[in-house]
Amino acid sequence: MSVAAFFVSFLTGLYGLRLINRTRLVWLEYFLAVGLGVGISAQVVFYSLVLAGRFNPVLIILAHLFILIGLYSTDRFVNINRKEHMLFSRPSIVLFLAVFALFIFLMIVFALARPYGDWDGWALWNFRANFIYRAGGRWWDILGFNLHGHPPWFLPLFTLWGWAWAGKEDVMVPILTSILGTFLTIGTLVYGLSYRVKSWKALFGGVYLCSIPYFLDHATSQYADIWVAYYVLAVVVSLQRGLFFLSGILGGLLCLSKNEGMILTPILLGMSFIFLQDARRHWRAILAGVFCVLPAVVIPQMLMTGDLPGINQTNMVYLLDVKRWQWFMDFIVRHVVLSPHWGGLWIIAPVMLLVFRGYWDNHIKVYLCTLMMFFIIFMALYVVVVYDFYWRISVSWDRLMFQITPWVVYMMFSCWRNKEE
Amino acid sequence: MHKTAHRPIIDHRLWEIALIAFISFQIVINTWKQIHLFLGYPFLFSSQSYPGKDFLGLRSYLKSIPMAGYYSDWPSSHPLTDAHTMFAYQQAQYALSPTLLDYYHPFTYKWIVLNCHDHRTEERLLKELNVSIVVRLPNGLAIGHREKP
Repeated sequence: MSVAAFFVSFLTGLYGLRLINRTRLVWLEYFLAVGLGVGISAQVVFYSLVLAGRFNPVLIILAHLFILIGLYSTDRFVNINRKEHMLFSRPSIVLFLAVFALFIFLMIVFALARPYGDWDGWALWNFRANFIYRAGGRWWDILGFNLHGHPPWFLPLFTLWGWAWAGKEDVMVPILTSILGTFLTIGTLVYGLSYRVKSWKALFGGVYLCSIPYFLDHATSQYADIWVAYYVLAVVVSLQRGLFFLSGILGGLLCLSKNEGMILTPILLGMSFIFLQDARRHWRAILAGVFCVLPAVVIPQMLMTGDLPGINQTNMVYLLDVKRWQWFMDFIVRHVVLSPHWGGLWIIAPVMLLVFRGYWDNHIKVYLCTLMMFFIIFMALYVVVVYDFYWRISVSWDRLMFQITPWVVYMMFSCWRNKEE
Repeated sequence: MHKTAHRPIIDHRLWEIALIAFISFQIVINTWKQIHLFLGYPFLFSSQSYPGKDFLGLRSYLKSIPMAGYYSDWPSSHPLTDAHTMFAYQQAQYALSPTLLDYYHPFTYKWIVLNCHDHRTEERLLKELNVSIVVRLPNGLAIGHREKP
């Protein structure tokens, strides 16, 4: 039954997107629609928890079906003259699946081999879901309970959506969620790129992303990082395609997916307003989209009271600590740039961007400025922590890089153009 | 003269070919690594055991207890950076949910989950804090109870 949850999410996203984008849909929009549907499902769970005071599967399913029927009816009414659902777009989905068959197989095996996910997968993300599932009326207690209850909660909420259909704590739901997130990221990358460069280059970019050893391994570990990676790419691609309201909603979902998303969204949208005339013109649509999701992000943050004692203590003096910066840079060079598990990405990306700098447009400038700000903010945040700076970097910096990996691959391949393109 | 002065050192096309070759090489090497990883995986569905299975025996005793303390005698200044302490603690937390286990103030609750490796430490603790053992599993994990926390 948990598969039905994914199907309902997909339909909800699809009919939602058909209302946002009145033109005929192409494959790219299907990949975005699923992300939208998954986000709607997570929010339905959240609001039902707030309103009902406990996890109530019947209420959640009925509320969601009500939304789906509402979207479907509105679509029938609004898009009455719409003849076909989909335009043929390159690369064809058959070619896409054929090229990625090996990686899809590896992705499924990696996910199944760790049914409970890696450490943080079960200890933080799935724990939050199973606590809410079991705690009944006192599910709020987790917000006052240190690191374990720290919102945003996108991933646990979607897991609960699957469990509402399954009627139990079905281990397949987080597994399928991680596979879905990975698949959506690859699809969005390839079909997003196919609007910028030739299809074979788009496929080449997707294959390169999948070949990065850390990518598939971490994407299927049931961490929330794959959803940050997906949503940031989806925001970028929908801005590129001129789907402004959708990019706002996806930006809101990026905030809901993890703390890093709450920093990325304002920077990315802010930079878009600076560099992109179209985004400036449609600022109301973009912000309206963000505000649709914001309550689900803000309410748990406001109610959260617990934290680990001392763990977030900071000292600004460390910004001037040369030794810390040296160690940080040394770590990045040794463990990220030269590390085999990154498959040479952090060497190829700057080289490729420099070689094709003649093809940089305003979108690339948005990405570069956002990434620069993102790194400055996070490096500063890491450097100023009082408690165990070295440990913190060594366990979590890779994850931060993972979140921007598909977007970086999108950026480097989207400037790989020639005069004809 | 001017024409040659503006010419790039390496032709753009050459850069493109070099990049394709390098990325293709990376793809082959990296994919091979992943296939190797897959071959080395214990890839049956049940290869990963339930996190916190050691603690499952305590679950029925804590079912209606919202908060309990968690005490481990493993020496650690902060559990977040100590993989050994954190692993056991988070496993307990996962398995015993929805009971929340407080690592930082373990002795402020009536109920306490004890994960002691040293028998003498545990005995001293039980005496000092007036804790009585409610249940002890064969693996040594126990639940203690205090009348006045």
